[in-house]
Amino acid sequence: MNAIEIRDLCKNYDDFRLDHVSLTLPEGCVMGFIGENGAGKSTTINLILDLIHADGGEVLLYGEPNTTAFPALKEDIGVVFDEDCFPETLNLRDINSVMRSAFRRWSEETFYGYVKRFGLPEKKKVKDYSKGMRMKLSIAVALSHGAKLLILDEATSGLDPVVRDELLDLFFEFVQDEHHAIFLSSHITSDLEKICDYVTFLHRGKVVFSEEKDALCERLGILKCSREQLRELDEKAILGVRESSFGAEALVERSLAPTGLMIDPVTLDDIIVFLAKGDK
Amino acid sequence: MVALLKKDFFVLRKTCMIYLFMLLFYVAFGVLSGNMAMFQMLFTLVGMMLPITSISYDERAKWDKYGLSMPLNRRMIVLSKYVFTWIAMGFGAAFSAVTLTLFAVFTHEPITIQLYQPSLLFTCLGFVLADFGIPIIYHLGTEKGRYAMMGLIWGVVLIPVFLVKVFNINVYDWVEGSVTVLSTGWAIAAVSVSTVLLTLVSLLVSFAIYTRKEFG
Repeated sequence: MNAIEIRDLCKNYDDFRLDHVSLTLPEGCVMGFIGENGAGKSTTINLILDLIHADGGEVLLYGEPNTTAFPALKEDIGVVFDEDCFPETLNLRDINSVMRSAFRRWSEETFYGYVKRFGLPEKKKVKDYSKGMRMKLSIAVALSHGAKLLILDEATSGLDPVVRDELLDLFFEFVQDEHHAIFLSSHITSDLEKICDYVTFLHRGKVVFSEEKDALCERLGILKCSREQLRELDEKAILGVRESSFGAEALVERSLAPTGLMIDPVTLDDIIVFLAKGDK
Repeated sequence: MVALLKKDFFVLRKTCMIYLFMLLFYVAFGVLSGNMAMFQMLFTLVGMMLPITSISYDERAKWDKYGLSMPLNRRMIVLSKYVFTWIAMGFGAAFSAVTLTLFAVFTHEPITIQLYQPSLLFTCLGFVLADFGIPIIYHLGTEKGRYAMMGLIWGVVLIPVFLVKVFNINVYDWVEGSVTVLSTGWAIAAVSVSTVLLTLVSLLVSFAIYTRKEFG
């Protein structure tokens, strides 16, 4: 079963259009959702959660449409947004009390376990928390009600590398259950490279690719060459180019590039920069 | 629903304490001056303001977005605001009834139904203001909605004053007459039933507004 299945999802705004976005996240997997600022990542997540109304397409979560079966489905979904959404005057005890009434499978023990693990102050109000603390609080809540699917929108931004590393371990533990899945939108591509099985790249509202991360990184590479050499390449092999006074760098399909050329391994960062910014 | 009510009470507990102190002040003021009208008007306003304040806190925290990612549907979120209002107004009405009873006991006044009728009318007024206020705030947001609410309250106060001036009505006779009419049992029943119906209409309007809203 697929944890998330999106088919031809569309959303129109005056100055932006999410254009027939399709992707599939199987159970037991982690999908990294990447793209430049304004690409439509948060819009896609808002559509998955039915926070905004789609102009076309459908979203299925564990086989159920997100619009009709949703309140029950949401018991199984843990969400972390890019900004915390807890009223500032609440403290941990208040949040625990509210969540205990909201989620059938809320575990107070698990919640306070994460609170202790993340070092969150128990008596302070949310308004006195730093940005990083608020993010950790959101993550603690998302992991404390028996969720099967985590949807994380920039959940690790604002956190120091030590905490991010710890969270990645937590997420890795989370998907050891074959029915669990994580949909993670992030600009920190090094985190995605550590944990993701699949990567979807969104550029100006369109999906450029959605495939297995390892296969993607094996398929693509960075070719550093002179401009003359670049002009001799098959155009179909070139996905993005950056030229400088010293020469050129091109993101290429290894299978279409001439043999004998030195093609360097590619990172997700390279892919985003070349596809979002590269002049072709 | 319980989760949402808990959240609203936790968020507004300090605000409620402040309002409670204000109410106690006006009770004392009313006892010393012998006029409890100010206190009753205040609890009406407090009952109306609490749900609107709660919506404004939610807006500031972007709680609706998070709330909708939980096992809650849009209608439940809207209904919780109305239930919160009913609880707040109910508490205010009970507080008023107890205060008026004690006041009557200590001033050796007869405890009759007429003692509580103004309270009931003010409670209905509070519901009516909330019934207009909640859909307005949902539609316009807190910033613009507050101005619309102020306009509504000014209209309720200023239009009768304007009419009194234009038609040269003796204010005291008019108020006394109105109170006499509204204090009859059938008038109070009519006002109460109308308030309930208006609340139902307000709820349906709020459902429609909130269902269409987007939380991006």
